[in-house]
Order: sequence, then C-alpha cells, then structure tokens
Amino acid sequence: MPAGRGNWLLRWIEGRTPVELRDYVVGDLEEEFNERRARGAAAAWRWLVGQAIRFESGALRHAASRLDGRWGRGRPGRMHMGGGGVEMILKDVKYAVRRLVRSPVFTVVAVLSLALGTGANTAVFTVFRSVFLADAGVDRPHRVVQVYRNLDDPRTGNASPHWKISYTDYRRMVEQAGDVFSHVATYRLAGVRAEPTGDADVTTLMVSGDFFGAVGADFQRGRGFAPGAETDVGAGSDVVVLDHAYWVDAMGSDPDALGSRIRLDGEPHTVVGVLAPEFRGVSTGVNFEMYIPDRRAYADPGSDNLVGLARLADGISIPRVEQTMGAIAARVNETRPAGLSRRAYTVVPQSEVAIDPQLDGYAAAFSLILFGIAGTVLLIMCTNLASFQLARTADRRREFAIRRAIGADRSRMLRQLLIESTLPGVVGSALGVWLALAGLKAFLTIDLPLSVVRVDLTPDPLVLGFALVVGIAAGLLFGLLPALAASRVPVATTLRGGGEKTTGRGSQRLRGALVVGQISLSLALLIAAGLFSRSLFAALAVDPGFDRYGVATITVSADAAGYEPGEPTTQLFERIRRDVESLPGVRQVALASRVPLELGIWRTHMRRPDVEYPEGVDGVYPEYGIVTPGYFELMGMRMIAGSDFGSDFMDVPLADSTEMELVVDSVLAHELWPEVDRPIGRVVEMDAYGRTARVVGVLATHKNHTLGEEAEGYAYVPFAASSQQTMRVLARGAGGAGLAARMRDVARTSDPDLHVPTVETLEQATDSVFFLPRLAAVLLSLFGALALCIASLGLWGLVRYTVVRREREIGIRLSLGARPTTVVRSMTAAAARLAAIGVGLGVLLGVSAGFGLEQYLFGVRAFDPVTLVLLPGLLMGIAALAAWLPARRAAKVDPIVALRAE
Amino acid sequence: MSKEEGPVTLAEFEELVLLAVLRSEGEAYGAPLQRDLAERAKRSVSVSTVYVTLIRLEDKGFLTSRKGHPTAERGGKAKRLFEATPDGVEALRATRALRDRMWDGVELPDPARER
Repeated sequence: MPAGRGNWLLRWIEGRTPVELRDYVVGDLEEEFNERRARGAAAAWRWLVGQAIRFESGALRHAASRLDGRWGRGRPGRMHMGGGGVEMILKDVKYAVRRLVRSPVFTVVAVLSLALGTGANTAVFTVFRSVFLADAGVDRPHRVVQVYRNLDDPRTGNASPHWKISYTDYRRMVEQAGDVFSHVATYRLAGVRAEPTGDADVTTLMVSGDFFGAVGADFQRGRGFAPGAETDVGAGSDVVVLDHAYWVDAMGSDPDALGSRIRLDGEPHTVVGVLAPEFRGVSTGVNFEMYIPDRRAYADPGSDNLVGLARLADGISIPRVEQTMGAIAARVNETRPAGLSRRAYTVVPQSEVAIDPQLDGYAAAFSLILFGIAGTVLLIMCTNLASFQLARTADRRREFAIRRAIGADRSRMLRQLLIESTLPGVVGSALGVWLALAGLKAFLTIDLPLSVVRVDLTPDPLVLGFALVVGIAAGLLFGLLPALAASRVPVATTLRGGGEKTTGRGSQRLRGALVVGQISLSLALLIAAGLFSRSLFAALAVDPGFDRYGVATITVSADAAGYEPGEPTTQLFERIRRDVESLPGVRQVALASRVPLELGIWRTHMRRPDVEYPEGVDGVYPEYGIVTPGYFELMGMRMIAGSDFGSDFMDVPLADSTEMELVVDSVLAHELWPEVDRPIGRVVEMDAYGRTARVVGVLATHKNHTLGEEAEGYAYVPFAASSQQTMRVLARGAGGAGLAARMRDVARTSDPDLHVPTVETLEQATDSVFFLPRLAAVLLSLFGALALCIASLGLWGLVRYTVVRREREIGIRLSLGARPTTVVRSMTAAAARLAAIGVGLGVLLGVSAGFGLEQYLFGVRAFDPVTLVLLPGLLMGIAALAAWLPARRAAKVDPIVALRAE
Repeated sequence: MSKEEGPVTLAEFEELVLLAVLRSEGEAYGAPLQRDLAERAKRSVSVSTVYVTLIRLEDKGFLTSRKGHPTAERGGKAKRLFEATPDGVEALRATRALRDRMWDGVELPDPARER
C-alpha cells in the first residue's frame, strides 16, 4: 500500500526503506505524523523533515540483511525496478538531461510551450472532472433515482421531460409507491441569507422527507433530519445541516457548532449535523453549503418546483420504478378533467446526473468545445516543437552516423531521442498543472453566471495523471517524426562528410508539412475566434427593446422578512421604494418581478369573455410580469398606444376593486384581438386574480429570454394587484454598482434582516446572454493569436534554415549571374506555396468547425464571407512577411565566401 | 569486557530501547517506543536508528517480535510488536547491577558548592 496518500516525503522515505521493513517503519512514521498533524500541521511537517534528514537507509539496509526473511518478505515498492533495461533507461535520461541543459533555448521554449498546451488541457479537464467525474458521496448512486414530471402541455407550450414535481407529487410517491422505495424525499435549490457569511447568498438545498436517508450521507458530526417530525407538514423545528466545507470555511471548524444557533433569513436555526467531507450533495457540479427543511414546499403543495429523490428498496429495478410511477400517473389522470395535460413521470438514476439532467447536455457540449480549443493549441505547440526538433536532429546527423557505425542499434537511438522529447513534456506538464490551477483560480474569481458550479482545485491523482499523460503524449508526438528521420541516417554518406548539406531533403519536406499544419490549425482557431467575435458584436448591436444601461437594481425577498406566502407585501415594498427614491442621484424608481433576459418563466391564464373558444382551448397562457407604474419609462420601453398603469400602486384599495389594469405587448394584443388595431379598453378574465383586467396600454415588444428570439407575447399586471414576495427594485440614476449597494443599505435601514440576494446593475442582470460569445471570442482570439505567432515563427525558421543550408547553391547561382532579387523571390515563393496550402486547409478546417459551432453562433453564419476573406488574407500577409525577412539573406550571400567555405 | 567475565550487559541506547519495550506493556512497536524515548529519555532519534537497535536486540535474543494488525491511522500498514525475552530481562538486570557496583562508594561533589 502506498505510504500516506499525498505525502511525498513519506513516499520518499518509503523508497529508501528495505522492502521487508517498509510496512513497519513507514507505518510508524505515518502514525506519528498523523497524530502530530492533529495538533498542528507545521510542527508535524518539521518533525517529518527532521526524520527524513536523519534517516539512515544504509544502516537500516545492513540491519535488514541480518533478518534473513524473519520479518516476512514485504511487498515490492515502486523504487525497486530491477533489471538492466531500467539502468539503460536511466542512462538515457541522464544523457537527455545533459543535452537539454546544453541547449537551454530549445529546452525553455519546449517546456514553456508544452506547459501552455498541457495547462490549457488540464484546466479544461479539471472543470470537466469536477462536474462530471467527481464522486458526490451518494451511497450507491445507481440505487437512487431523481423523479421529474414528463410535461407536454399544448396549452402553455411548456414541454420538458425534466419538469419539476410538486409537494403533492411527492406525497403520492410516499403513499402510493408501496414498497418500491426505501426512502423518499424532495429537494430544491435556494439562496438563503446566513448570519455568519453576511450578504452573499448561501447555496442551500431545501429538503423534505427522508433526504439524508435517501442519499445515504455520512456525517462528520451530529445527524440528519428526522423524517416527518422535522421535514414534513406540521414540522415545527428550525434545524440546519451544514456542508463540511461551509463548516470549515465559515465557522472555522468550530467544534461546538453542533447545537449552536445560526440565523438564516433572520430566523434562528439549530445546527444538528455537519456532513462528512466526501458528501457533496445531489449534483457533483454544485456547491451546496447547507440543508434546511423545506417548509415552504408544504405551505404551497401545488407548485412545481421540487425534484423527487428516492432510494430503491432491495431487489427493485429501475424499470419496476418506472412502472410504479406510471401507475401513479394513471391514477392521477383518471380524475383529471379532459383538456388538461396528462401526467407522466421521468425517472433518472442519480448516477447519471452531474449538475441537473437539463443542464448536463449543455455542460458536456461546452466542455467539448473547450477541449477542442485546448487540444488544437496543444497540437500547434507540438508541430512547432517537432520542426524545431527536426532542425536540431539534422545538426546531429554526424553523431548518429558515428553511433550507428560503432554498433548502436536503431531502436536504442530512437528510444534515446524520444526520451529527450518526453522529458520536456513531463516537466512541462508539471508546470502546466500549476498554470492550469493558478489560471482557473484567477478565472473563477470573476463573477460568472455559473459561479454556483463547484470546481475542485486540489490537484488529485486523476488530474495529475491526466496532465502527465498529456505531457508525455505531446512529447512523443513532437519527438516521433524527427526521431524516425534521424535514426534513418545513411551512415556512409554522412560520415564521408558530403551528406551534411546535400541530404536531409526528407526532413526538409517534413518541416514543410509541419509548417502547413501549423498554419492551417492556427487559421482554423482564428476563424472560430472571428465567428464568435462577430457573434458578440451582432449580439451587442441587437436592440433588446429596453435600455440596459444606467440602472442599478437589487432583489428584495419579503419571505425572509417574516412575510408568509399570500400575505400582501405592498407596505414593505412601498417603504423601500420611497427610501430608494430619496437617495441622491436617483431619478426614477420602479419595481418588477423579473427583468427581461434574466432566467425565469412565469405564465398566467387569460381568456376573452366575449368569444366562444373551441373544444379543448380555453384561452391563452402568455408570460407576464408584475411591475409598478413608471417601470416602462424607467426601462426605456416604448408604449405604442394607451398609457402606463394609472395610479400609484399604493393608492388602489385592492380588495374593493373588481377590475384591474393590464398592459400587453403588440404581439399579445394581436393574438387576443386580431380584429382591432389598438385594443385599449378591451377586457380579459384572469383566473389567477379572480377578476377581469382592462387593457390600458400596448407596449412595443422587447427581447425576453434570448436576443435571437421571436416575440411571443407578454403581459404586465400592476404590482398593487399582487402579493408578490420577491421583487427587483430598479433605480435609474448615476452611480452604477455603488448606487445598488446604497439601495441595499437603505432597504435594510428599518429591517436589518431583510434578504437582498442580488445587488447589481441592470447591465449585469441581463448579461448572461453575452456570456458564451464573449468567453469563446476572448479565449479563441487569445489562443488563435498565440498560434499565429508560433506558426509565423515556424515559417520564419524554415526559410532561414533553407537559406543557410543552400548557401553554396545560392552562391553558385549568384556567381553564374543570377540576380539577387530572383533568388530571394524563389526562396519566398517556396514558402508562399506552403503558406497557401496551409491557408487552404485552414479555411476548410475553419468552415467545418464553424458548422459544428453554428448552434452557438448568433447573427452570423458558419460560412461567413467577411471572416473567410479577412482572416486568410491577414494570415497570407503575415506568412509572406515571415518568409521574406529571412529570404533577404540569400541576396546578401557573397559567392566567393560561400564557395570557399567548402 | 569479555563474555566469560560475567553476564552480558547492554550498551546505553540498547538499554533505553529495551526499557521502553518493557514500559509499554504489550503495545511495543516503533511509534510509541520512539515517542517514549523522545519524551522521557529526551532522545530524539530517527526511526531508522530505533529499528537498527531493535533488530540488533532481536539478533542477540533479548527481544522477540511478531507481526501486528494493520490500523487505519497508519495507512493500513502492519505493526511490528516487540516483547522482551527472559534473556533480555536478565541483561537489563545485569546492566543495572554493573552500574550499581560502580556507583558504590562514589560521592560526587555538590554542584552548588563547586560554583
């Protein structure tokens, strides 16, 4: 068994300990080290370093030799590599190191470019591993299932096999599934304001039923929730279970945490458990920080916002579960009125879920694109190093010829050359791991729309192994062709001296091919970069139908302030609105349930009282928002006809009014009243509000979810008519993010417990649609530019080398009367041919990559003429320059000097 | 000193290690022995030194050892458990007797007066 996983010093000592003593000696050290580390890591390491320094392996080996196997044979360890082959390899390694040290420029370039290449791949792999390959700590995850509704509702257009279930669905699973499940639970993701961590939301999993039983979690301290008593209807206790990382980071591993009380959304909760560090919740990719009973779910049993989670009872298979859930759905459908969507459930094994069944596909595609970029970068690095290496081995032809002549066999020479190229790969991959982790660390501090995703930055064996394999593979890749070429050196010609300058045409061709490869790959990257950049500009140029700039916004959650679902919140929000209005620099204030381009879909039912709907259709289900008067003006939205909501929202005595006001956009107006141009004063019935609504204004459409969408119809109802719990407060004025922070402070003046989960500008709130094109454009441009530099350097080096090698020939041509410009031109032309082939291939590659990426592009086609003319042109220009600069040398060749050199 | 002149005695470190084995009452293996030597005898020695001495004592027949069970805190590695043999105890007794004989009649000057 390897000594102390991750403790390199112990492993080093293990390697120096005789096999038969290894378990005892290293076990003792490990035991003592662990005991000391519990008291203080620094002192423990000091002690272990002291042990390593004073460790006398010679004396121990001598003593062990007297044992004669009395203490057993022991297990062979990694350091025992018997046999002469190993010694030979070690010799080769030593020789390779000496050679690499002797050419520091090549070594540094090779190590750095391989570090960059493996670093890029390792970074992508680290993220990929965190999301897709991590062990979430769920006990036997293939025995756990997530349950969703399989929804296809023709009336609302909502359709998804992974629609959330309701608390009622959960009760059905508990009461009707019989003995199919051994534990049943639900969960949903929520943000909670916790006292120890201040303003930022704590990512919380709200759970009901026997959640911890279903996942089979281990606890570091304490326990999970008592199913029923603590987590279902009527449960009264306020309890919380902490994630291990949260306990360590936010509470400093407080040993007295159990039983202590922390305030969550203003309510004191008792800590009953701290999870074991291995447990990461139901999604490997997400960072859950705490778990609390989901009391809101039982308060509102009809809303579809939960994920069902169940552990299968012994002997029950997934098909059996699907059958049971099908039977439950059939029972529901029996009593459901015709016209409503049929109920059906989807069962997903937990072992197949990374983040969430809906997001996993996108995440995988995104990873694939990133792997494509990183892989291409590595490939370019390899081709560059390969041509570098070719030139180096060409210089060593004499050495190889001599070695062949005195009997070195070809495989031995091949091996030695490959060791020489894999060595920089190994060093480069170590550096690459560091680069990847440092880069990711910096990258993850940026506020990403996916910041909730957990990326584990500890370099575990999997990541290290991946980097090492990539590094070695890259080393082999760039070393193989040059090594094959070099080991095939013709002994006699080379030794006679003539070979040095006249042969090597094969390796020259190889270098040419490599340059072509470099140019085509870098052009492909640049074309992809160009496509995404054009996407980004196209996206930024789209008029979303409102003004994203100059508005600060906070989200205020009333439920955290003690409001129960359904309780009017107008007083709270009215107070906040007045306070924000009084802030200096604020010109307009309005409230909205949601701003365009942020996540979330809310629909409501409307029907015209004055028309007969055909069988099975009973109106429309448009998306809608809840806003206060002044919102449209603040957002810069255009009113086509009519006006804003009439009165200030606090003036309307809600209960007394029988009719409410309604604003619709032009698309919804046309859908409801195709017969009139401007349906001001028309009326619809709205079941959700139990009253009719009269249209007071028709709004121009605005972008709602994506920039490329066709408007589908949108409605606005006044805030006064609602008991909305969570609202965005928007203020137009000077100050940006600073203004948002002041808004939060002023909102909290009268209620310090108020939950304000987001504090940002409207630009930030609506930024996620630009995230992918921006990230892709930046990454691809960066790598594309880097690749272009490398390819140009490669071409430059090739032409220069050609000129030097053919100096004698050039000298003869010049002395026979050739004009210098002709010679230069012929040199440049040869390079230009290579560049042209590279560009041609690059365009092909770029176009096919573009078609693969088309679904991620916006406002630009894969076959984009602008990109496809500009970039190849640019590349040809740069290539010509890279070739012409060294070719000029040819004109300066002095025929006399060149000929005399022979 | 040759063997014929009396019972075998121990070198100082051997004596300390053997005493540590006796002190640890059945749970004598590397880690606690090393700890006892460091804390009580103020001999902070490397683990290799401890094992070299243990093997020598076993060679001389003053100790026997057997393989113990692996435990988690030592990374699943087995312990080597040591026990003093009657010969070992006899050697300790002889060493102590030798000391006592030599101490007999020695009177050290009082360090306080010397200063």
